[in-house]
Amino acid sequence: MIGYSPYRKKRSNFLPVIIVLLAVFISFSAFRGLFGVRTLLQAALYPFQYAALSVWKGVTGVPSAITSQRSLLKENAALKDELDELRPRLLVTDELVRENQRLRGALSFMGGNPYRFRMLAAQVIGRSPDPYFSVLQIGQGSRAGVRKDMPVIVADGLVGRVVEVSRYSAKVMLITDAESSVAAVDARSRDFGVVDGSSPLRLYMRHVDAGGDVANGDVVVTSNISTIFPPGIPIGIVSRASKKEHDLFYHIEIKPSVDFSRIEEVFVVF
Amino acid sequence: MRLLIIAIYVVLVIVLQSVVFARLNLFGVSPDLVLISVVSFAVLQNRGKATVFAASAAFLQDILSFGVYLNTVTRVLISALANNIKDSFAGNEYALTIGLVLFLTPVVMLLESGFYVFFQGRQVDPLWLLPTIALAAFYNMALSLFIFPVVKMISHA
Repeated sequence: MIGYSPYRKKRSNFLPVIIVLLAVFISFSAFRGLFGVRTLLQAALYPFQYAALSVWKGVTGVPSAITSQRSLLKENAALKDELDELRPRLLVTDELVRENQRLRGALSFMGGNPYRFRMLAAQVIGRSPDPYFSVLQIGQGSRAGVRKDMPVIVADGLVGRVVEVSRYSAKVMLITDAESSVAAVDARSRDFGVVDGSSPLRLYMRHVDAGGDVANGDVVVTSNISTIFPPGIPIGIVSRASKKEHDLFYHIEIKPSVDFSRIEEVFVVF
Repeated sequence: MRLLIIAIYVVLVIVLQSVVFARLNLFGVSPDLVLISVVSFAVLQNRGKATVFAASAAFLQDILSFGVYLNTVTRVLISALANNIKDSFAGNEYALTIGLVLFLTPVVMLLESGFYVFFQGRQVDPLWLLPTIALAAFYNMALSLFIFPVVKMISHA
């Protein structure tokens, strides 16, 4: 209980002001990394985060571990049916991949196959608590060869790129972050644009010429002009594409192909 | 001894915030354990200690985030503001903390969004921001019911 006192001592705001000014100064200075202290502290916090993640996974894993055998059998049967359905498609895909490889070889694109990249699996350790930054922290760092600007993907598509690396962990800026921009193309019409982040649920594809042909449901993939991302990685599906009579560009909204709130493992592309 | 307990609490808060609470999001909104702790500490302690607590916890939060040291700026300001309000308040400190969390969560989020819009040229969608602020305020307020007694215990240990 805080008691009433009509003559409270006036307290100085000197310390808060100094700290605020110092933080602002560092934020806009060239030594934002604090001469390695930032990565050092990140590395120091990593074991605690890893331990917390293990406990968290242990706790949240219990309900799924006691899932009834019947539901597992049902799921198994459904997956077998799905596999039977997909097998013929896979054969066709294999044939297309072989044909693609032959054509690429003929065009002398030696080593140009975008799907031959080396990948490193990494666990998602933490997430930025700040709602304005879409940043993941992954459990692989410079010790495993992770470097700044390396692309990060999952099976569903593009996740983002590495923006900060410490010895045992790295930070990945998601493509939904407002600072993220990815060169992209419509996989059907090959119309080029730039995919910008906005909020965790939406992406925008900008600078697509209004003379192009973009429609709802089109798949948007990374473009081969990107210097960071390999081409052909799915980014999302066009959920709204519109243009007015005198517009120079399309207004395109994209639903990301990756559910960023549920990512637990990612792959860093080398 | 108390300093050690508080230091452990700061690390624990940061780790829980980045690992556990980031996964406990509701419609994409996570509770802000650091903000709740900073406000609770400001209500329970004097300005100097509360400022040091806010600065160290927010600095670690910035280390795990990306970009500028904005959390440090906002949390220290919030701590000072909460301390000033406490100085002109008589009544239950538990109620004060809960009220401050409810009031200061939108203040922090508006400060941060203002910074990103005016200094970094980011686009913040109001249709996303306003529900996010409302949800975060109530989420934080609900959590402060449990965090305040813990902070009270460690700050008087």
